[in-house]
Amino acid sequence: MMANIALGILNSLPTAIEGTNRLIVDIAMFFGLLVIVAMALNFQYGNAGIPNMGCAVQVIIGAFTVSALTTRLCFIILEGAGVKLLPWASDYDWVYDMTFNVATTNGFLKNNAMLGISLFLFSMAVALVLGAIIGYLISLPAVRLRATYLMIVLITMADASQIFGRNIPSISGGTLGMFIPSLFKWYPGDSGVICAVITLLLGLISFFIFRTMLNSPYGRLMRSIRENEVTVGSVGKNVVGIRRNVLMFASGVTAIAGVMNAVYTSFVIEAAYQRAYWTYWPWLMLILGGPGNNAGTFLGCALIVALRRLIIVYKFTIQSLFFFPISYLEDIILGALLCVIMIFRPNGLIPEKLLYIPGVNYSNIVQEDVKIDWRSAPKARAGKGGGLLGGKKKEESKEEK
Amino acid sequence: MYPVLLMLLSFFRVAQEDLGTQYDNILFYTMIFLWVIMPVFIVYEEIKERRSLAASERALEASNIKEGKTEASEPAEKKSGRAIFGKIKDTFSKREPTEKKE
Repeated sequence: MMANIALGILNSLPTAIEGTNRLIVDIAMFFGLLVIVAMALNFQYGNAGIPNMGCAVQVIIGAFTVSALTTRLCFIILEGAGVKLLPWASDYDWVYDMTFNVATTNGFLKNNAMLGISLFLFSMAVALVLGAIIGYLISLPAVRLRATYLMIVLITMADASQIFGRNIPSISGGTLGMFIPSLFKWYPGDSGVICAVITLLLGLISFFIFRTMLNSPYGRLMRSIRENEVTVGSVGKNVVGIRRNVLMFASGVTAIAGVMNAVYTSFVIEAAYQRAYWTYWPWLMLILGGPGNNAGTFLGCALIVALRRLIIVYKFTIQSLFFFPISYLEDIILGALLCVIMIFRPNGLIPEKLLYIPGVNYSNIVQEDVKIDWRSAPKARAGKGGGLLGGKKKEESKEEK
Repeated sequence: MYPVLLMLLSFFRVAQEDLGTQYDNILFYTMIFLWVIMPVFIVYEEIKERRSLAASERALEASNIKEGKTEASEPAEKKSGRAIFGKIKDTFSKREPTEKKE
């Protein structure tokens, strides 16, 4: 009887990822990607006060890692294993022989799960490192600039990365783009589902990491830099160094979103990494939900992804309501929502709360009479003669004698 | 307990028999589960943090009153009601706002 019930449940489940199920997988995938990007942006802007308008650079680095490095490594391994590929060394061959080579590679990966998994992990690791390096390079001119100039520099960097991809075919096939080997070809079902699951897991992990970092002393330091960097600098903290570290870490995490996007679509083209999609939409999510607040970022992300998918699904119905092409509606909504939020809710839907340190009982701290024994520590320091006060006190005591 | 175990065993047995087509189902529902658990967890964390912060704020206020540093403030509902009423009044009258920004 139980077996029959189980069989009934299984039979009632969808047997193939198509139609509405495909749409659900697609929404989950892009939701996971944008959650990662928006949380990294929240880490940079919401908590450290770095207005990163160059998220697209970091995402594109992840995608280029797969197209330029992982694909080449895959071809080298295949040739080493005796699989015959068409020439791919020159730019011309790289672009025009790519379809055949990728099809051959996919056939090989279908029977070699370990190779696919290893290449995927390699892509993630290299993207993390390259993302951190690009974050460091961005930070060199950027961290000393004020907000407006910093934003301009980062926007130009995002455009520059796209121009590199467009004009150097060996990176991502130039204007034609290129197919990349399907790293989940070994999976017997639909590889989109496994990509979506991994992306959502990565989103959840990044949430944990960012939350832990924000509740740590380093997170409090970041917030203090956001509020007043001059004061933080005056007490001896390395403001430039902290901002650089934040940019490097967030860049590495954002690059992972680029890897997942490339693996999901199995195709990389620089035009898919425009700053409107990978920078402005995450910014809107952040501002809508509330900067400096992970729950707000998450809410903003969910609302925007749902809104965009609704526009896509019901485009024919919505089209009859407007006189202009429906493809412009998303951009109009982006601009209009930004204006509306900045006017009516500048703190977002969920405003930022005070910093909460887990494990600390605030009620006890406030209620108890804190008694500090000042006799031990300051005197010990003064006795050694270290510090300004200690030295002065010593001199004074000598004069008194 | 026993029926649940039997149910699970049956489920896995049937799933194993037809594994080629059921991979997608398992992952699909894992994906849905992750999708559901993420906001639930984040909202739970947020509420927990806000509650503890509100409790600490109340404790601070109580300790201040005890020490005589500040006077007891008005209830939150009264305060917010006054604020809302003041805003509405400012909107419909041409007078200067009651709460002046510094």
